[in-house]
Order: sequence, then C-alpha cells, then structure tokens
Amino acid sequence: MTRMNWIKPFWIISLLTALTLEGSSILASKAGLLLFNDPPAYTMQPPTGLNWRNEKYAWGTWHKTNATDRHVSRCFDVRYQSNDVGARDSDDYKEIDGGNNVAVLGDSFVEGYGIDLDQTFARMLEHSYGKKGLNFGATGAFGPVQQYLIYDGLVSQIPHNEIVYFFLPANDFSDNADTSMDSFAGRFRPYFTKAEPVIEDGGNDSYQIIYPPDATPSDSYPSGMFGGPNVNYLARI
Amino acid sequence: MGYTWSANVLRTMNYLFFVEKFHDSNDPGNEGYFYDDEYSVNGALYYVDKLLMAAPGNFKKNARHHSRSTRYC
Repeated sequence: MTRMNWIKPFWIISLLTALTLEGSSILASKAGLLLFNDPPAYTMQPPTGLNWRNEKYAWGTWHKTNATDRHVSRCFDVRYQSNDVGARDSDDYKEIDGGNNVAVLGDSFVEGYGIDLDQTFARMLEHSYGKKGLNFGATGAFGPVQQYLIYDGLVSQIPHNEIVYFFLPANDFSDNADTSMDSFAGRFRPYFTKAEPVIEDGGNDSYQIIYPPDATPSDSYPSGMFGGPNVNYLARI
Repeated sequence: MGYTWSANVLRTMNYLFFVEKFHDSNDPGNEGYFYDDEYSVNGALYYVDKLLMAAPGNFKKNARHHSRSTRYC
C-alpha cells in the first residue's frame, strides 16, 4: 500500500472515532451518567454570578452597591442582590435602626454562595435569634486581613452590638499570606508580611499589610476570572 | 468545565482513578485537616486578634488570649 492510500482512511477513522466519542459523551452528560456533566466551553455559558462583584476597596473582593446578578450552576440557580453598602441583603444598612444588630463576617459560606438569600446565615440568625443579622460575608478568598479591613472601614460604621465571626482553617490561614500572592495574580487584595516586632506590643511579631505592586482597584473582577485559574478557585470555595 | 463534552469522561476517570486515591493517601484516617505553616498561622491570627479587639462585647477582653492559644499546627 502506498503512503497516500492509508492516510485518507486513517483520518476518516480518527474523525469518526472522535465524533462518536463526543456524541456519546453528550448523551452521557445530558443523562447525568458521569461525575462531571458540565457543558463545554463552546456551548452557551450560564450566568456566572461574577458581574455583581468588584475589587475596588481596601479589603479587596466585595460587591457593587444595589446590584443584582444571577448564578447558574450544575446544582443551583440563584439570584444575588446587594444593598446600599454592597452587602448581600435586601435591607439597606446605612439608615438601619438602632444598634441591636449582629454583624456576621466570613467567607463565601457567610455571603451565601450558591444559595438563596433566605438561606444565608445572617437571615437564619434573624429567624432564630431575633436580632437583625448584617451580612458582611464575601466570596473570593476573603481572609482575615480583609475581614479586619472591612470591619475597620465599613462594619464599624454600621450600628451593631455583637459579631459572629467565621474562620475556616482550610484556607483562612493562607488566603492573605504574602506567600500566596502568586495564586491570585492580577487581583487587587491585601496580604500580610512579617514586619519588625512592635516594642509597645511587648516585642511580639507584627505583620504589615501590603498590596501586589501590579494590581489596581477595579469595579469588576479581572477578565481572567472567567477563564483563568481563579475560576477553579472560586468554584471550590 | 472543559473544551469538549468528552472532557467530562476524562474528568470522571481522573476523579475515580487519581483524585480519590490521592485523597485517601493524603488523609488515611480521614481525621480532618491540619495546617502546619506557622508563618501563615501567626500572620492570620494577628489580624483575627485585631478584628476581635475592635469588635464590641465581652469577647474583647479575652480575644488576644483566646486566639493566641488556638494554634492549628
């Protein structure tokens, strides 16, 4: 057989094999037979729930004020709503009554990533505890430095007399360590780095706040969030 | 999310034959998660302290001792 005689059948068989595999994978995915049944990149993508997020404040990841968004995934279809300070709530906080409120701080599971507003911890707290829960949770690797900064820059201005603080050892230790900076390339978010001991503090170690030199505040998440490694990070928090 | 539907097959095989085994070998007794990076622990708790010290309530006076006595390494 000459060289030209086997090239054509080879490509035809390869193409048919690829089409058969892709076709059977579509059927298997649509029927939910696999562990992963997500639509591929070339199909129409569902709403990502990233459009209401920004990174423009000192604490990094947060939400636009009075914004709405929709987030559709394999296992949920929810709508997000932010209030006059950008917190996930249908009630505004700037003019909130009295000081008998509970400020709730934490990562995505406080914000309510992938769940309806009524299922968030702050809302459930209201039903069971009888005090207004102020939702200061944020998705996007929201660590202790960021939670301190949002408390200092925003939460402290909203009347409250209690806090509930969620700390997740699995990632909150490393979220803001300067050694993790490369993992969040392009994002505007604070990190701690070791500084000289403070004499007034008994000579204990201190940690100062730094920002990536090439990152700037942005009213939206960086475009890389939609196709870069950060998508995978968002998906697992 | 992959670039083709076939990627779901590969991801399923990868999960079944690699991730599951990796998970088991990484946590053989399923005893939980341990964090042993002392630098990250101390830096993170430094700001947990600052947050709790700024917060209202009786927790304030015990915040430093409480968080400093809780080390995950």
